[in-house]
Amino acid sequence: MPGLTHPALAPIESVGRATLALVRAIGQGGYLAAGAVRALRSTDIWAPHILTQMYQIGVASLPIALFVSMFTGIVLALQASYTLTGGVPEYFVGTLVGKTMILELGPVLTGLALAGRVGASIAAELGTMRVTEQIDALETLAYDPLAYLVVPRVAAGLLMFPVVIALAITIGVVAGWVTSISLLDMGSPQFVKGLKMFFDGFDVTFAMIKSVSFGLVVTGVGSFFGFHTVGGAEGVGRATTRAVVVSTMLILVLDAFWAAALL
Amino acid sequence: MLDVHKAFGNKEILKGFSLTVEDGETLSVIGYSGSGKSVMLKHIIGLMQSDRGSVHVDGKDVAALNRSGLTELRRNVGYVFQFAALFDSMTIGENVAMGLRRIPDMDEEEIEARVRECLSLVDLHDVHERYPSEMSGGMVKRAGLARAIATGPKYLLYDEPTTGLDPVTVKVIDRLNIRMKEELGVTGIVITHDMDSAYRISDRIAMLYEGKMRAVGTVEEIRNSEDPLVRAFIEGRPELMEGMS
Amino acid sequence: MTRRRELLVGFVVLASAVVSVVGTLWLQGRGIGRTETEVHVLVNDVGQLAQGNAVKFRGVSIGRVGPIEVEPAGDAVRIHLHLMGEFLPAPDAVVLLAPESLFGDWQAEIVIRSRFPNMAFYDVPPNRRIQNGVRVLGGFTLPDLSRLTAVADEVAQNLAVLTDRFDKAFSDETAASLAQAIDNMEELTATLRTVVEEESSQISGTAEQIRIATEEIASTLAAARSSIDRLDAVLASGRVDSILDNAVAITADFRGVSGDVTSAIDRLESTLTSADSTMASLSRIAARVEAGEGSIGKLLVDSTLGLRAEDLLEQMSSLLDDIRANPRKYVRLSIF
Ligand SMILES: Nc1ncnc2c1ncn2[C@@H]1O[C@H](COP(=O)(O)OP(=O)(O)OP(=O)(O)O)[C@@H](O)[C@H]1O
Ligand SMILES: [Mg+2]
Repeated sequence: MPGLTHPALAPIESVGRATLALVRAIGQGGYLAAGAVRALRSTDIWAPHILTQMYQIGVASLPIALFVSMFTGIVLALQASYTLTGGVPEYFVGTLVGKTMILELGPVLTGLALAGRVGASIAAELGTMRVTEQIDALETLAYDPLAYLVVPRVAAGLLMFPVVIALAITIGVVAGWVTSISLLDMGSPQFVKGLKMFFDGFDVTFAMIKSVSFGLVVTGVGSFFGFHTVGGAEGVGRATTRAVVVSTMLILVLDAFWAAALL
Repeated sequence: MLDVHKAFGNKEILKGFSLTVEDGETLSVIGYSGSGKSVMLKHIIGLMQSDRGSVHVDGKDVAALNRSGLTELRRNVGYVFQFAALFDSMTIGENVAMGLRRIPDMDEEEIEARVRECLSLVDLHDVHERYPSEMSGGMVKRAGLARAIATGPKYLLYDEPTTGLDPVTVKVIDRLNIRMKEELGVTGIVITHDMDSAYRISDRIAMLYEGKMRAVGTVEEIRNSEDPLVRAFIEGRPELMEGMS
Repeated sequence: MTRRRELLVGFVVLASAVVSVVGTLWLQGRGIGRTETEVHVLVNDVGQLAQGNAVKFRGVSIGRVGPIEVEPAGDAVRIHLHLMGEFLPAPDAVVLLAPESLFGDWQAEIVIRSRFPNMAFYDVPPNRRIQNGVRVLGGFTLPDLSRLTAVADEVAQNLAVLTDRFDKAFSDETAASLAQAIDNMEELTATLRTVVEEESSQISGTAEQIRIATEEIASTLAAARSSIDRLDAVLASGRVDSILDNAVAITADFRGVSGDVTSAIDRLESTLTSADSTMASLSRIAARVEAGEGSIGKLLVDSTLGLRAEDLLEQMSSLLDDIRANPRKYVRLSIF
């Protein structure tokens, strides 16, 4: 269509291209998801790898997750006591640390940290396998690559994110507690009182629902970009970056979604 | 394969390629670098789907196969990747065993024995516990071949199995190819740039040029081909091509 | 290698499960394997009490409020209290539900009935005091500020009825008691205003509106008083003929008064949580008097009205004392 190559049309063209790319990505994502669900049947392929992935995604991520949440807990306690002056009783430090850790910062910060760690490593690993034809090789050996690579990672993410996040929340609250006692001259009973006062069992359910969805997003997005890598080392780098950026954004969007839907 | 077309973006690689391979024969495919030989080979086991035309294996249309059909087909086919494509997170032994683990009722001991057997067939010894990154290019390549033959497939697709190997190893591999054909009746398609090797192992030779089948025939026919393009390729004399295209 | 991983994965999963379950139970205030005593409380209305609030005994937290449910007959609310360890409430133990702090959380306190003679604790019938081995105690919910305004409402309504009756009965005694009641009311309002002013430094926004509202009640009452004064003058001069005319005028005044009180109360209502607006009935009665409906006899039948009013005033002053003593109990401010 030579008649349509006017420079003024370029912005429209690029919008069209972006739209098509998005639609294609959604389509590919859906295809990947459907394939992964279908691949669930091939238990013999994925089951042996669940444990390794649970280790990689869960256990190996613990240090970073606990590190992040520990410092978050400390900072929360310090800032809470700084903010809550005047007529507000000091046990509110406990309330603030507990509520914020459980409802928001525990799941989200851990999710973000793991998006960087787990999402990136999945995308890089699968991306490298894609560009070096290892994924093709799996196919020729009669393995469904979705069952072999994607299912164990996503399943491990679903299982281990809540585990890691629960521990992270605990460490965060304990860190806030210890900070309150040692740095803020607050009594332990006061912190505990504030912690318990507004606690609701649903908070924990809420955090766990979030965690599971973050696990799905991080491993799913990492797998998606890894699986669709094109173009050598640079392509792997691009896939990794995108996986981290997209899963970070999706975590925040999901966070807002759950807050709107469940609170 | 019938009238296969394949394009990446607007770059057409295969433009109506057709080829028939008989049971039990070994056919070599030659052609210039980048002419689409590897792409053609990937169509045969459904790693790529053609834009037009069809690929039939054992009378079944590969593109129409569902996942289990495809799995069934792939159990019968061994594929040697041009760059080996070994799983770099696994040892050589585990790599070779991968295909075997998909065979029901094969216990660890049998797998172990079979792995050793295949590795020694490609002249690799004591590499069981090594990782691909700890081996030379030629060794990796042979390990890839061992992995492809391990399950005893009916069809073997070799993408340049001997490129980059020393002359002695090339002979070893060629002999292995011939043995596979003669003793086990394996049908083979070999992509190669090494004409000597092609002459040694092939029943027929086909040349891929500009997305189409340029010439196909027995070793003798190709050796004596009048086609200047074929001559230029097999004799490695680019001047013969002048004025051709 | 694999075994080590299995071990680590298993350890992490178990640790997380234990931490989550134990942590949740602990934060909810439940113990594991600890003995617990269950006690039930019957009460007319639970106020803001919610599951998980503290149960106190002599100021010590001894348990948590469990499920709260309305009795099948709908005549009371049953509150389950989960008390730590063995706890045997005294025979005349009752439960007082009240705000625990400025921040909206309530508590259930186990007390001895005789310490709070003025409070109408739920009277649990003797045959229901122990059900399935669980002690059932009577409870009383301390009114908060919104309740106070409801009481004031009721006082105002009774005043109206009283005035109405007096309007037709021409009794000096009644006039005097009414004037006295209004005096008391003014005094109470003044006290209320002082209390609120004392509190206003801490809860300035809310207090400001309460203050305005109370001021309006005060001025309304002043207006009411002037109508009573006029009534006094009428009685003193003994000109009975003009009484009916005056009654009409008074009634009109009262109509205005009641309107003012209504709006004042309304404002109080909007700043506090809820109160039944009963002022509407005051103006309705005033309208009916103006229309000449009803009879003196009918109005006089309810001779307890005066007493009731005094009762209410008494209740109010005890409440105000309490407000002065524990101002934070009555002002609620919710965070989160
Ligand atoms: N996945 C792909 N996406 C885009 N282009 C591709 C893809 N795979 C192959 N090509 C292009 O197709 C052409 C043929 O590639 P192919 O690997 O089949 O060549 P070849 O004949 O095997 O060459 P060589 O002898 O060097 O191995 C090349 O130009 C390559 O750039
Ligand atoms: Mg090639």
